[in-house]
Amino acid sequence: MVTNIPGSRALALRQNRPVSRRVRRMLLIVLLLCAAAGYVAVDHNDAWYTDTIAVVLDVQTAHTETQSGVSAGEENYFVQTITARLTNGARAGETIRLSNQYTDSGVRDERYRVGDKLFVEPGGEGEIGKIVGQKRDTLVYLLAAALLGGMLAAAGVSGLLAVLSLLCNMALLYAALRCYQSGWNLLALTGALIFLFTALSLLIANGWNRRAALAIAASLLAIAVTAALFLAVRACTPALQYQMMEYAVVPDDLSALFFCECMVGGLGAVMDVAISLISTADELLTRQPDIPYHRLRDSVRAVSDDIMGTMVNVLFFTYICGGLPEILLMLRNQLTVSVVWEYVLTFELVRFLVGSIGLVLAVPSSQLVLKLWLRRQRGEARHG
Amino acid sequence: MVKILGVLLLALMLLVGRDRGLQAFLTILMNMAVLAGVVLAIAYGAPPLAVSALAGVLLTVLILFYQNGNNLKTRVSFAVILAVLLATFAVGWLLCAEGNAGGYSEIKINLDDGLFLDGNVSLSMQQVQIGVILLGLLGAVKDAAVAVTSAVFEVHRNNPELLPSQLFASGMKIGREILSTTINTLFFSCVGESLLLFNLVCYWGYSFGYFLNSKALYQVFLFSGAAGLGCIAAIPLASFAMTAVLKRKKGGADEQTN
Repeated sequence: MVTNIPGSRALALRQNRPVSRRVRRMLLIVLLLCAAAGYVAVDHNDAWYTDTIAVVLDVQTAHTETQSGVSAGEENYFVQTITARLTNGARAGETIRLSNQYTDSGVRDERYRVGDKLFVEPGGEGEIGKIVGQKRDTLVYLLAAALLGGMLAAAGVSGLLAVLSLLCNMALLYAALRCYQSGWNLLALTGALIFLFTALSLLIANGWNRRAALAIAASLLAIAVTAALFLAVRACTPALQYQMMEYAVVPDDLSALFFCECMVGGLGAVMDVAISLISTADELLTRQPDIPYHRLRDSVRAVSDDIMGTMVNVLFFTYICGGLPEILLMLRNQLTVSVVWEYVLTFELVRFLVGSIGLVLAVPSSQLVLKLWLRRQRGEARHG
Repeated sequence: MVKILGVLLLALMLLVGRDRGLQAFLTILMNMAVLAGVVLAIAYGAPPLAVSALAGVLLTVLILFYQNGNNLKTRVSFAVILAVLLATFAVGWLLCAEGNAGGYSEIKINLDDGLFLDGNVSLSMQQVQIGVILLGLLGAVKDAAVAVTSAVFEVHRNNPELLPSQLFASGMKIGREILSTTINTLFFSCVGESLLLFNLVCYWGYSFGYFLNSKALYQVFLFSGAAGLGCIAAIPLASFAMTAVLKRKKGGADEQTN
């Protein structure tokens, strides 16, 4: 049973000190008020931007032409004549006119509605302005607030810790990218990044204790073996078409960047498996300190059998589904399946496979770490 | 490369998980077959929303009943996952439409992808995006739902006298643990998918404001955020549903279902 991880009970007890119902309700109200205040602030932050923003007041849509689709069907083209009001800058309050073309498919265009906020380059008096893009920060805020609120409401303190570790990891990622831009070696950076990601996430979630230390060791071991396997396979197979990856810019580093992507991508799953297994063992060890290793291994195995399939599924869906829009576009453009395979599917599949190999390897590496640790512990006890 | 890595994964799964490993690998193959069917159906003109909704239900059946067997826990999980899918469908539709999440992002348009694909595909990219969000959260939501329903079931079996509120609390307790690790997993797989995008943004020195409002970020965030939200929603829902089902049966009767 995934759910019979005995560690969870201790964790929950430790993290959920009884909070009286009144304090809880107060906190909830404060949280809701904060969220509402944040929403109002983000919704009215136009003055913070130096780019000119306009809010759409009125839209007139006209059908302009119908082209035949590239493989099937038809494509309708529409032109929107938009009346909008500038909301920031020196000309705030002025009404401007904009024009926007969109199609049924919307591959490279967007359709705007009344109330949308747009970044614009307004023309002079009576001219038609240019639309730069849509202002989406309110939506991003809403999504982030929903996630944050949901985590806090569903998981309390451990939700807060999870959010904290997310924020730390984001900061870390940003710092690493800056270092990379300033010319650091990518492979060394990847190694450091993986080490820090693992240590930070597990320490924040579990605190500084035996459980966290063992899980960090197990995750790092699993990732290291995965990296070695991946590099070995890469060395003896033909190179992938890295320049076809989404958002590829710097051609000489692409294979190293892809390696970094694969390693970091599977890291979460590896940590998940490692901490689940180590927690189980840790709980058993706490209850019965002289438990023989083979009993420990059997219960670890029972847990790993349950979570492995599930975690592989999680990785599968998050990775493979991300590539679907591009694949569909290519197929509709009558590119062959082999092109799709080579340019899109290969990358998604390799990411998924490397992540899965990592999480499967997390099982034996957890067992190994446990074994070594027990041997040292018991060896010392015998000698001392 | 894919083939070698695939064989490697199969070997490792067999080695580590034996028959359960094989089963997990077969599930992945079946998932792939279903997704391939989805892609082909949409490419040949089937409506993207209907196809992905159908595939969502089919995949849920596959990963749930094939991997975890048909019993009370999985049946309740199934209902929970369907409810979450439905809710995501509504929320995803709204957010995709509001933020124009479909199609190429501005950063990608600037980039000239080298394939010069024709935009006249007569296929609503917005609907495709909603479908993708719907399918992308299946794994995470199933993980949460099954973990919570089995926890509640186990607690009930060991201690049938517990009050519904206590059962619910035990479901939430396990959910809490699942949630933080799942969010972590989602975050890292999101970074793994989009590292090149983040790198590009740094490389070209886009301003924070530009990136925050860009479609590129919105697509990534919506995809991962929806999975996270689905997970969060599944936990209380699963605790509640399982408690309600168990308490309605007044214990005893459900012993033989597992």
